[in-house]
Amino acid sequence: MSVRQLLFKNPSEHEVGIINYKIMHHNGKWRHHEATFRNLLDHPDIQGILINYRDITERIEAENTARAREKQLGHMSRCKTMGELSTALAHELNQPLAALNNYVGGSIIRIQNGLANTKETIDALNAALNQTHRVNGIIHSMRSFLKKGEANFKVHSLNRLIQDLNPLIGLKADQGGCTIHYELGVSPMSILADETLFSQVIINLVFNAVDALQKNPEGQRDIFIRTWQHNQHVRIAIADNGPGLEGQNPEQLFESFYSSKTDSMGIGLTLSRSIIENHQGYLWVCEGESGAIFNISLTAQERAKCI
Amino acid sequence: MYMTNPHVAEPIVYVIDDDQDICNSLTWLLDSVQLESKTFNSATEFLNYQRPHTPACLILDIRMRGMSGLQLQQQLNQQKINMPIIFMTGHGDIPMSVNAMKAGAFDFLEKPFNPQHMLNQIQSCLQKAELDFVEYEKRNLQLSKLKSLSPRENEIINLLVDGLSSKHIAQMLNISHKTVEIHRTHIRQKLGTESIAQIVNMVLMCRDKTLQVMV
Repeated sequence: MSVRQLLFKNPSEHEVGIINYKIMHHNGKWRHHEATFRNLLDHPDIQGILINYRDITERIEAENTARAREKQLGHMSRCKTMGELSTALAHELNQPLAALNNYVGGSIIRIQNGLANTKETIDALNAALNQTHRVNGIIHSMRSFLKKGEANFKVHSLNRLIQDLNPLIGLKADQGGCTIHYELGVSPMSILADETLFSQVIINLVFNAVDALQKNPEGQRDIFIRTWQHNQHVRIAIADNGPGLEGQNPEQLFESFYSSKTDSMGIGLTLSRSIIENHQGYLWVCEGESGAIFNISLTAQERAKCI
Repeated sequence: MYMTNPHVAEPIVYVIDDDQDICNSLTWLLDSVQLESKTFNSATEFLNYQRPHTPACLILDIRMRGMSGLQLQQQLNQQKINMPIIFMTGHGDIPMSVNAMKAGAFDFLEKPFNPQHMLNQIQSCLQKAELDFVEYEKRNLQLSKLKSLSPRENEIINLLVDGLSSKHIAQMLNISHKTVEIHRTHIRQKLGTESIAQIVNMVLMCRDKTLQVMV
């Protein structure tokens, strides 16, 4: 919008507006400016237009750097997560591959020996096919998690996003001897989200819960993932029956490089909160009856757009 | 192809894995070469099962929730249950596999394994199981014969095995030489052998190795 358009759009209002533009400095570099206009034509003393402008190049550059760094950190943190899981992932992929081999091997031997019963063999080969779906599920979930690139906000079904994460979450839970209980709301809740980033938050919170639960005896390590709709908001709660906040200041948890774990970079929760804020939502923690509850609130989207 | 000994019951392959797909697919594979199998989803389930008296081998997942494959192996070793084990391992389980081999595992195969290779290993594993079984039965028979000896006969046989003559034994036990000879005759009758060498062999076999229970 040009300055002229801005000025004459609402001539009666004094505050005309803000405009951002960049101009070339004589040294050849671009500078970012922000200008505010005030229509004071009616003002008896001034009878003119007041323009304030300031150079905001530093601020813009700092914001860009911060955004780039956050993206980098995000990717780094996802790679680290995957690294932690690599053994379990290989194990998880080898299971269905082994079953697949057995089904196919058993079928070949039967056919070679002329002992193949058609129906039974078809059942076995279908069972083998199911194993490839299992492999695909794991690979899909891993790839979308590790995707690097521009944020891609789309309307998603919240429950589907969470269900898609099950293979990864399940792995970590298995490793840590935890049981995950899903209590997903029935209404088709839709949110505007970047799948990779949003998944990162959920995974981060669940992984934290698994780590916290290591203090509990085996068989008493439960994680609850709940989703529900509350008016115009969609809510997600990740609760565990671990030791809770143990007197830690809830807000301090979200500070950068603050971590109660020795092997952690301490950026998980900071990053998670910043991601949720980029989703126009809130992430906070509170103490439950037993253990901690991490809550996310996001604006509910219209259901028709849901993919 | 594995040849079953006509004197011995049909062998059985026990599969223990907490992944139902692995259990089902192994049953399908084993059935393709007419091997009987039984699957369990946990070590505890297997331990609670009343196993028939038959040669058997174990296909065991090394990593399971609850009792792990290694723990089960230890427990079976402690209970002197002699059943050859083929471990199935996942990626990166090498240190565990080393421990398994040290504790007497027959073999370990990394998932995903070649099905034919697995079948070959199972066949040789069952051959070993069958030899062990026959050996065990033999020793069991000898043991029951030895158990039929009276306390005095037992005393005498142990001294015989230690290399003492009847004369020495009579002196040591403060009985007559003739009495010792009578006991020796009874011993020979009860054990069903005339040869002193066989008697010695029998006692050493049962005494030497800790008696291994098959099932």
